[in-house]
Amino acid sequence: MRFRLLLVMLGVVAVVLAVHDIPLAWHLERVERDRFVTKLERDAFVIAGRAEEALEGGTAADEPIIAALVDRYSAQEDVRVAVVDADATGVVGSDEDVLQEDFSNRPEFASALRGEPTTGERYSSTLGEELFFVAVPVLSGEEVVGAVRISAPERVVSDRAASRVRGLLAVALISLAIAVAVAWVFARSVIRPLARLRTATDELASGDLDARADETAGPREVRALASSFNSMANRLPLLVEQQRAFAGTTSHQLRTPLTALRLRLERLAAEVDADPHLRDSVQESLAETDRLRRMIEGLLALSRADDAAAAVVTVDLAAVLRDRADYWKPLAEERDVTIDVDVPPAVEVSVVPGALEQIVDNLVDNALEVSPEGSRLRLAATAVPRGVELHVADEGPGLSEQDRQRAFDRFWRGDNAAPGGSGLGLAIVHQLAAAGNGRAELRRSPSGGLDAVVTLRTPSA
Amino acid sequence: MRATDEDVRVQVLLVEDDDSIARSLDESLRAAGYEVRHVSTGRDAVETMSTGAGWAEVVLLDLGLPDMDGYDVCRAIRAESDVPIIVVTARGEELDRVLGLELGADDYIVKPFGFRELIARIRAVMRRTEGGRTAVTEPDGADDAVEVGPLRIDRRTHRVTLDDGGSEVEIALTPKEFELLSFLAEDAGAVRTRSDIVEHVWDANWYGPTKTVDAHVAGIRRKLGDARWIGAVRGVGFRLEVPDAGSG
Repeated sequence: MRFRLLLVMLGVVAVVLAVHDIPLAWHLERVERDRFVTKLERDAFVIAGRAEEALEGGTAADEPIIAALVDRYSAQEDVRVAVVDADATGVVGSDEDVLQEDFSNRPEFASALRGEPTTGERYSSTLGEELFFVAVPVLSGEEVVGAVRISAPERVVSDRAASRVRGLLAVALISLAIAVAVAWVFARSVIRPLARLRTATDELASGDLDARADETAGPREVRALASSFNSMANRLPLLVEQQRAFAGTTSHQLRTPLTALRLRLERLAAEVDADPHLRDSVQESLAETDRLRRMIEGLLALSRADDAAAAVVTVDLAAVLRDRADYWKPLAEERDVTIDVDVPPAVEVSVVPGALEQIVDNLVDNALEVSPEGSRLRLAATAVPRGVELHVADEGPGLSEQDRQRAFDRFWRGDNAAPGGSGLGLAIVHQLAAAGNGRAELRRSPSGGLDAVVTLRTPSA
Repeated sequence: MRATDEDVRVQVLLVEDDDSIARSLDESLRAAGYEVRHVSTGRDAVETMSTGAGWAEVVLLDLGLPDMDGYDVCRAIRAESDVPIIVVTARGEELDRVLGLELGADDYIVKPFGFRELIARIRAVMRRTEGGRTAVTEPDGADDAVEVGPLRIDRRTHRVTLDDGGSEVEIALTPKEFELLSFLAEDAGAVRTRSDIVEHVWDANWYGPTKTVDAHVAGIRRKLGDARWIGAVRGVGFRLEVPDAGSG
């Protein structure tokens, strides 16, 4: 946006300058040319006036005076001067070869000797370049006694015009620079409040419900936007609260009909005890009520994990991993699974109170479920920039890339998951990790099994 | 499932506004040998207790009543009588429990509870109050210890000892392991289902990894030094049994 604003501003100024300056440059060039012609004409008449007596009397005594004048003049002005007598024979010139040369075939001398001053341009084959010239008659009374021609290479004229145009260009560039500076300041005054608004939006999106935009800075429209943003941000905690409360209340409300269902099934179980088929069926129904119960409690645990985001504490991950490994080892041994713990002496992480034990237990629970007999289960902690990775890696069959992505969804269950699971374990792990600004993901372990990785923040980060 | 060993029917006042739960509890309690009176409002409950004082031997009180706050009902009943009160709640949160017990409730049970767990609570409360209210200081040590073969579980001191061929070895269990073992020992040889175990050792509102019970069972087995102490019944639950001395 900043660059677009700059481009628009530059474009507008450039068009205005072009519309204004191109005709002006053309005009300036013509003015300059006219001024040059006028000056040369005036000079030519001055020289003609001085040359009059010399050409009239035919006395050689006056010639050195004119020659000195012509020399001085031509040296000063980078022009060439030629003076001819009435027969168009060179008398005095800024160049030696003018003397005695016959100029009668030059049209400008011909018209000057007829009494008409001439200006023009022509190509000089003698000098091999375009010439710009002025020729005037030398008059003695009414009689033409000779002619004076001042010529200059065309480039002298165009150089003068070009320097004018360059001046114009310099002014145009300065105007552009000023336009850029003004556009920059303007763009900043719009962009900076927008950038701050964006920061606030990002903070809000990452879960900081206290993020607010500055309503006092920037143009009116941006302030209005910031104010709208803030009223939205003010409403958000209310909506989140309502949603949480809904999940909580609903789960509580479900417990009562679930109790009624369970009590009735238990009554029924006692009645049909004699019929093995009916009894099994009722027992399975009872197992389903237990699964329903687990789901309700799982949802409540999830909404508690949502609420937990507020406070974090510093916990020694290594100690927790060793402790949980000790807790799970007897069961793992019964299933012929070896638990390896690979942790440094102490690793401090920043988590929601009680979250770490739940995270590790859920992950080990899942890993044991898929671990084949004789396999190993690895618990590890490794340092990464600004955090610590907690690994729970099994040697089971693993999951496809797609399933690894979806496994954190609520109620997602693997194809061969054990019956009775709620499908909420990984969702809770994810929520608990996120509550402490960490994150959870599933990777492929080197053995092809699953490597559950939870990245946790270190206290300083 | 008889309420008491004597042939006297225990009278239960059921305060429950949910008809479906009330009807099935009514039926089940009657089938189990209890006498039941059902009221569905707090006012009726208080009235029943004040007019027919001394009638109920146990009150089952649902805290979520339509007309009165459950805690107020609890306080009102307690003001009239020493009858044991078991609070029934759908909200297992700490606050409810503390409040319920401080206001004079003797125990609580959280929905969705099973009938067996309810009966266990009623019996436990009646045992406690029968002893406690008549003679507060009466020691009842003998009743609190359970012996299963060489294993002795003392509920009062939370100690577990194993008679290892003459010498007594003390087994150090975590609180949950102790609860689990003593729950299994209450009816040694009988299978306890997973949901019964979860309900009794944790509670109906507990949520944790599915293999938590297995992990605790494995922990106890290891501490007892013989995996056969606790047998698993596939798909159902666990039972405590004395390992066959000959082979083990």
